[in-house]
Amino acid sequence: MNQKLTYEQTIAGKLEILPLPDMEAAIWKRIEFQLDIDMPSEGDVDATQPPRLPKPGPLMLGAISIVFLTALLVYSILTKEQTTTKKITHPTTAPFIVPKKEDPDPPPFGKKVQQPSQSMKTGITPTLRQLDSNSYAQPTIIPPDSNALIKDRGDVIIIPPAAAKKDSEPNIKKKKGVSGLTDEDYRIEPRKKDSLP
Amino acid sequence: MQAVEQDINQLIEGCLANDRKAQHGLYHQFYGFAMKIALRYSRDEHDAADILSQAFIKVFKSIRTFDPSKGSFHAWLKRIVVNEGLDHIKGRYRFSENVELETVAEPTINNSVLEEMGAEEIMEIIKKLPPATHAVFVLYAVEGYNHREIAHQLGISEGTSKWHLSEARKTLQKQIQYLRTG
Repeated sequence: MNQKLTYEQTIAGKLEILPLPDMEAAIWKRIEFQLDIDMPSEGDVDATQPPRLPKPGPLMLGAISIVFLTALLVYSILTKEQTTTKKITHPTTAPFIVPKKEDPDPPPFGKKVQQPSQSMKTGITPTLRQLDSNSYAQPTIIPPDSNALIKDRGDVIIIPPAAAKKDSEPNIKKKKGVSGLTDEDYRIEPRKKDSLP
Repeated sequence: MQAVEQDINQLIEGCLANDRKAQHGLYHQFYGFAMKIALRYSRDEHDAADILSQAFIKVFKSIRTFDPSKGSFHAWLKRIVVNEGLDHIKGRYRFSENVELETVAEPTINNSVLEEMGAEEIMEIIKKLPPATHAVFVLYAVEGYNHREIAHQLGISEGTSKWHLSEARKTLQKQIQYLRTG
């Protein structure tokens, strides 16, 4: 078992003179292709590969930096503008609507200039219709008892209630309780025993 | 002979520098030598081409590990090609450990019949062996490894290696008799 037999030596000798297949060039192409992927040589430029971009020099880096900074600046300005617009157009509470101060000819006191709209008469606020998540229909919210006059949307400005209160309303203290009632009316007195049946 | 060795050394130097021309030169120089080894472990030429291409890629990638003081380049290349051939066989066949053999009566094959046969004809018979038996027979009868070395190479026991060799001899005897009588 552990010795090479005579016929095995004959087989080994015969296999040494085995004719070779003519595949030398084809196999080399496969090897070369794999080598180009795994360990590309310095001098080789593969035609199948796309041309490499030149390495970015100092000028290229400067230009890229300028473009990036400009884009950042534009973005920050736009973001700031959007934030300001949002603050104006989306008050958190119902706004007061007052005529513009610079109105050249304010209407005389007590004189009706314009009839309030139907919604004002009935006290029904208009229904808001939201078109999409980014755009809002700006509602005109007017309290039913408002005496404010609406001439035109262009002639009015919207002031937040807090600001409007400071400018237009005097600081009047409201009376507490119901008029006509005194503290005596609230006094509870026990009934007299004599009065019981 | 010395000039050839010098050429090989120069080509190896070029391969160390990843010079494609030197790599092609070394491949061209050893194509016949390596292809003969690859053919012994393959079923056809395409298998042999796969073994050879993978073996040479390994040669070029690991050329730095070649140490001339430990052996010739031929021996180093042969080991790589044989290992690649065995990996190829392992890829399509799982070596079984269920068979063991200690002693067996050796079949007799008429050597004169083999002498009359051509190399290709003999190779065709060897290719008909099961992959594991094929590998063990080539490693033992052609490459000259012993059972301990084969067992180590294939990850099997020595008894299993002996069993495969015995099976190869029986099958070859039957095949050669069939060819001659038929």
